[in-house]
Amino acid sequence: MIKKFIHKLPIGQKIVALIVSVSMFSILIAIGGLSINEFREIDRRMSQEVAVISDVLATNITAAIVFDDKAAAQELLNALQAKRVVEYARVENTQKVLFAHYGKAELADKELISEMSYYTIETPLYVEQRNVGNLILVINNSEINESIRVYLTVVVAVIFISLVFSFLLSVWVQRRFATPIIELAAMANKITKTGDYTIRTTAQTSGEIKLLQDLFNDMVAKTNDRELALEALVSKRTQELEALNIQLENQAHYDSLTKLPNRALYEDRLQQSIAHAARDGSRVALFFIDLDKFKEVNDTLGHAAGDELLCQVSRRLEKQCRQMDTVARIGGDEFTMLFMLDDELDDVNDIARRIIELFQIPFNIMDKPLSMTMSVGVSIYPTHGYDFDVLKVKADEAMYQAKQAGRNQFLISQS
Amino acid sequence: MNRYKCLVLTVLLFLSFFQSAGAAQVNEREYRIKAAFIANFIRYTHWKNPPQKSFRFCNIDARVANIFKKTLVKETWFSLKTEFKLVLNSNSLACDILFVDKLSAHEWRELWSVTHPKDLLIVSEGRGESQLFSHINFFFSDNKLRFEINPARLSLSDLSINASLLRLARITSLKEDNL
Repeated sequence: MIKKFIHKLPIGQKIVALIVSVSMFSILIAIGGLSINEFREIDRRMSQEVAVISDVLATNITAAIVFDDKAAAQELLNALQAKRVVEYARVENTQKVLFAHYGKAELADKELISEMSYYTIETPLYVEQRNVGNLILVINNSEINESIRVYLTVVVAVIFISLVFSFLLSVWVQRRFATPIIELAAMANKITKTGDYTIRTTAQTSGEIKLLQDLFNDMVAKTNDRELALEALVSKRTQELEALNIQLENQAHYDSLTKLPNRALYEDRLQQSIAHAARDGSRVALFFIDLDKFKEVNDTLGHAAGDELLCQVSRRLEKQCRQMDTVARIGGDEFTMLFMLDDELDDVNDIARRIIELFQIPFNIMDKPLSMTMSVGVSIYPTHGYDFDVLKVKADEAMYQAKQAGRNQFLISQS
Repeated sequence: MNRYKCLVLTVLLFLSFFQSAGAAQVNEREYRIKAAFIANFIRYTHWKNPPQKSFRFCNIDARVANIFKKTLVKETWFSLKTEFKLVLNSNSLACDILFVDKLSAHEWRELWSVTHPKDLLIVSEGRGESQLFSHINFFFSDNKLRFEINPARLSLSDLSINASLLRLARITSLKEDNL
């Protein structure tokens, strides 16, 4: 129970309790030992004093008895007035006849003596081994009790002063040693809860506690640095991952040469556009574009020139698109364009014509002008179909028909 | 003449008998008490050279000596046999204690007024005699037997007395002309 209670106490109170307990235990042990010694010493002194009184008196009284000098005996007994310990003295001869006495005559009664917690010392009086009488002294313990009372008063005062002193000492020790530790614990707790590693303990300390405090602050500072470094690393890794994701997404949805959406993205956007048009009743124009005689460029000028041409074609087609429109490369020299049509403003023929005109200006390929034309097939949702695949097929058919019709022209699906 | 002489002698003897018998009767009780006192004086006295073979108790008066002997016959001091002696003069003075009765005192007073015998306790019974020649002197006070002690004279005789005894005694000193 006590152990449990002590375990629950904070360290400061533990220190106070420990110091006060140890001090009290030491003081009580010391005072206990001293008290026993003191009581024995008082008792010994008392016994010695009584023995001396008895011996001195007996020697002198013996002569008085021997010479039957009652006055002298009485005079000797009267001298006991100076000795507070002797309440009653009685000298009697060998026949137990009273020779002289001093003090309270009622104390001649032995029962009364025992009732009053007095005690009796009886000294036989001898002259050369011949008993001539007895000296009886009745002693009271008042002096011993008084000495003990004074001693106990001093002891209680000493215990009280020691208790106050040890308490003050323990409070000082607690403030000196426990408070910095408590602050460290509170700081550690705060750091754990808030994750704020910028907190530092600033209590004024010295010695090992200061060392502990400095080490703790250093540890927190290092943890903070490591935390920041870790955060930076994680952030960097995240950015790299994001970049990689973007790159992967680009690779998945964009053509690596022209940076235009690839077939997958184009199909996705086509479906979204159809769905959107279906909801608001608008139209979508699907353009299939194929460059005319592109193979010859590759064959004559090389693939690098072909690639450069594809890129420049892509840039020109992009310029014709609004934000809601899409141009994509779906393979080789094939491109496709999606236009969200506004019935009142947009005319498919105008758009197609504008695109064909884009190619009337020659391209600059490897510092050489190069003329290039295209054939365009167009299908319109919902005019030529509601289905995604149908629209593609129809646009593709229209584009082939434009090729067959002589290239460098567009053709809107007729079916 | 013879008859007259015999009658006178008889009367004298008769008178002397009654006189002596009366004196002895009066003195005996007193001297018994004094004997008891003297017995205790010896116990409280220290001889520088204590007796070795026997304790010699000397008297001058035969009657007193007789009473003392009767009274103290069972007493022993220094675990020695007590020898009661009569002293006739100072030449044959081989004693440890000498009781000088008041009738004999005048013979000894002058002798010891100037000399101090060693290891001899002198007890007297005349007024002021401890100042003149004795160590301990009896006197009566309020019909009670008391004694006085002259410590200076004790010292001169190589004797000393227990303080307990001194406490009970009247202390006297040497007369200046005895010094």
